[in-house]
Amino acid sequence: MLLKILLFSMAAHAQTPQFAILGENEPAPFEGVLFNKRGIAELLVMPMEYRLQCDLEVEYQIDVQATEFELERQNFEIRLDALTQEYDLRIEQKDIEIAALQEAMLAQAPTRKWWWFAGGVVAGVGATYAAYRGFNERS
Amino acid sequence: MVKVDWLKVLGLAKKNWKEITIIILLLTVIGKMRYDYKQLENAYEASQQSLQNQIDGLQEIHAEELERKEHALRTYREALDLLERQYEQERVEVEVVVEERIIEIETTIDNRRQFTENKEELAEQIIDTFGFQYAP
Repeated sequence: MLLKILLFSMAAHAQTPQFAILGENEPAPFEGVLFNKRGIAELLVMPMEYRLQCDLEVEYQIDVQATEFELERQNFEIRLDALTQEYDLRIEQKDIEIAALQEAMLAQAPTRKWWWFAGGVVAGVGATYAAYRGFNERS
Repeated sequence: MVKVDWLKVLGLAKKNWKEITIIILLLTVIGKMRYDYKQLENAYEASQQSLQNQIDGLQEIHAEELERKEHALRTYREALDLLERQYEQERVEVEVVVEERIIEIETTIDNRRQFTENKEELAEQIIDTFGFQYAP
């Protein structure tokens, strides 16, 4: 704000840049353009002004790009973290599910399966024989 | 007290052994079916619980992700605002520097009488700046 006031006060006191076009021998050695003090001063300063503005613009644009890049990087990092968490969660839950299913499956499968198998065979044979006898008796 | 005549029961069982066997086998099959069904139900519940946990976890992760992204966006906007303000300030500074330099040149022209007595000095400056040829 202070700088703006300073600039305004400086500009208020400044002379207006002026120029005139002179013809040959019209108090000049050749035809051309005549600048007043302010005009030539502004012309002399112009390269420096452009350089400063260019430097400022480049710096600003680089900073903006860097900020945008930082946001993009952070977004990727956040996404990566979320996906990693998601993956861990899924694996963890699948492990729990597998353990529960395994437990259920193991409960299904008897520990003495050969005894069960033999018992089943004996029971089957017995039932078949009994049925055979039963039906034979009736006939 | 009811007295059970086991001989009679045995006789009845012997007489109807086929029906009794069928009933016992039927009960066994029903029992086994119920047991299997219970096991299936347990497996289904395990899957359902796992999926529910996954949904809850995913919702939590998603909420956290959104919050972090919001925060990052807020930080980005603040940084951009700051940059904008700095840029504006520096732009004014450049204008001030340029104006000061113009005034300095004007003062030098006046003080050193570069339009009348020391034309060479000003000419030198113009040559240095633009590379023009001086033609007095």
